Amino acid sequence: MPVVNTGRFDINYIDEGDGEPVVLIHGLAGDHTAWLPQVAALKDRYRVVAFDNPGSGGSTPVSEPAGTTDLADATLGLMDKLEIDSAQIIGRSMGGAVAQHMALKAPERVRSLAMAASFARLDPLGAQIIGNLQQLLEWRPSWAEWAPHAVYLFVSPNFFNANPELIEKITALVSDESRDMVSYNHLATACIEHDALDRLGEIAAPTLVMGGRYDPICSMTAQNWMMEKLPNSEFVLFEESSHFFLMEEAEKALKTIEDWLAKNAA
Amino acid sequence: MPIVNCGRFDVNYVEEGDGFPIVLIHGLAGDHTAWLPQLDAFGGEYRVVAMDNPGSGESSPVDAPCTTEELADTMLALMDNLGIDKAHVVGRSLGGLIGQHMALKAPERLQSLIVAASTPKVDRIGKRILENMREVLEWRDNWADWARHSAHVFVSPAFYNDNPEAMERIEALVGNEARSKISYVNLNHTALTHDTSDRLGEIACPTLIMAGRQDPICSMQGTEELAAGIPNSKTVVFEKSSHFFLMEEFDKSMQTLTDWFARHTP
Repeated sequence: MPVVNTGRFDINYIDEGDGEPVVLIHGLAGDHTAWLPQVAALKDRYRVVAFDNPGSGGSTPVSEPAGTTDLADATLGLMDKLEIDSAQIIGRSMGGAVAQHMALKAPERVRSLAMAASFARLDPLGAQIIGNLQQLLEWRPSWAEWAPHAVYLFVSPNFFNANPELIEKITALVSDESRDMVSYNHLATACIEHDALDRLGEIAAPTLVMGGRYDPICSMTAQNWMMEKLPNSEFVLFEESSHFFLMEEAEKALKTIEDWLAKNAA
Repeated sequence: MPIVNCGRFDVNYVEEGDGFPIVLIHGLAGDHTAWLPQLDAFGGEYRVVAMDNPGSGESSPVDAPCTTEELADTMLALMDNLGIDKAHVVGRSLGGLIGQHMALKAPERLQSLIVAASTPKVDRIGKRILENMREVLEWRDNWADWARHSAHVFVSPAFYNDNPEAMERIEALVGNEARSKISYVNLNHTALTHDTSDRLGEIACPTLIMAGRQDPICSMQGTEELAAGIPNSKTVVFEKSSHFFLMEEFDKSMQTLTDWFARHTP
C-alpha cells in the first residue's frame, strides 16, 4: 500500500476503481480494512479511496493531541495528493466527525456527506462511554483486557448472541497488542472534544445521517441533534442494530450507500 | 426493620398493608428500597413484603457461593416466618431467577409469578456484561468506579441522556461503598450459574413476563425463551427501556402490575 505525506501525518491508503471519487473515513478503533466490503462493492462504479486514519494501521501515530479538524486537514491533504478535487465522503463514527470539518473547511470539495453512527457532539452517554474506554486502558494497558469491555457496545444484544464466532473475531481484532495506545487516547479525546453541532447549518452539501437504534455510543439523541441542525439531510434508521450496523445490517446499509452515491453523482 | 432467620441467612424485610400477600424480590445490585414505589402503591390494598436479599442491605452477607435454588429456599422460609401460605411473587433480574425456583419448588405457594428483566439462563451478552462488572470491581476494589462503568447498561440511551439527575442518583446508590463486595462477587456467579431452561414447562402458576426491548443484561433472547417455555404466561415488552424499565417506563409498569394483581387475586 502507498503512503503519502499530507503535512503533519503520513497516510497509508488504497485507491481502487475508476469513476467519480468516493472517500471512506473509518472510526476510532478501526483502520482502512473496516471498509473492505464497501470498497469491493463500489469500485466497479466509483474511484474508491480508503485509508488508515492518523494513529491507525500504517499511518503516522498520533503522539501529541490532535483534533478532528487536524484529521480533516489530513484527509483533504490526501485528496490533494491523489488529485481529487471533490468527492462524495462517507465517514463512520469519528470518521463522520472528521467529514463534518472537511465540509466546513472546503465545501467545494465535498459533493455529498454520509455519516454512519456518527455525531456532531457526543451526547452524555456517548461521552461517558468513550471516557470509560479511555479509563479502562489507563487502568489495564492491555488491548486483550480492554476488548471484552468494548465489543458488547458495538452490536445489538441479538447480534451478539447470534454470532459468537464473529464476536470472537472482532474481539481478536481489537485485542491486537500492536495497536498504539497513545494514539487511541488522543483520538478518543478528539471525539469527546469534537463539537461541530452549532456549525452544521453551514453545511450545504446533501447529507445522509444513518443511526442504529441500539447504539449507546452515538445514540438516537446525538442523531436527532444532527438532524435538527443539518439543512439538507435525510435520516435512515437501522432498527435491529447498534454502532456496527454497516456489518449488522450489511445488505440494507450497502444498498442505502449505493442509492445515496448514485443520487448525488454528477 | 425486623430481621428473621431463614436458615442459612438472616433476612431483613419491610411489610406494608393488609390483604392478599405480594412478595417483592430485588436484583443483584439493589436492596429492598428498590421497591419503595411498589410498596407505596400496593400497600393499601395488599400485604406487601420486600426484603434485602442475602448479600444486600441488612441481611446476612453471601460469603460463600450459593445458588438461586438456595435463595428460593430463603424466600420460602421468609414466607413461613411471616405466616404467608400463598403470594404473588415478583422478582426483578436476579429476583426473577429466584422466583422461578420458588415456583418450581413450591407451586402451591405462588398465586402468580411476575418476572421483570429476567431469563432462564444468562445469555452470551448478559454473561459478558456480568463478567465485565465483576472484573471492574476486582480491578478497582471500589463501588464508585464500578458504578460509572455499569450504570449505562441499566437504562436506555434516551433515558440516560434525558435524565441526568436520575442517573446521578442511580450511580450514587449503586456506588455506595458500604455494599459487600464478596457478596456481589458470589451473587454475580449465582446469576451466571442459574439455568431453568429445561424446567420452564413445570412452572404452572399464571406468569407475567416483563422485559425491556433494549436490555443487554437480560435481553429479548431470554424473554422469548421464558415466553415459549412457561405454559401459562403473558409477556409485556417495554419498548423504550433497558434493564430498569420499572423506573424508565414507570407508569406503564405500575399499570401492568395493578391490572395483573387485580385479575389474579382470589
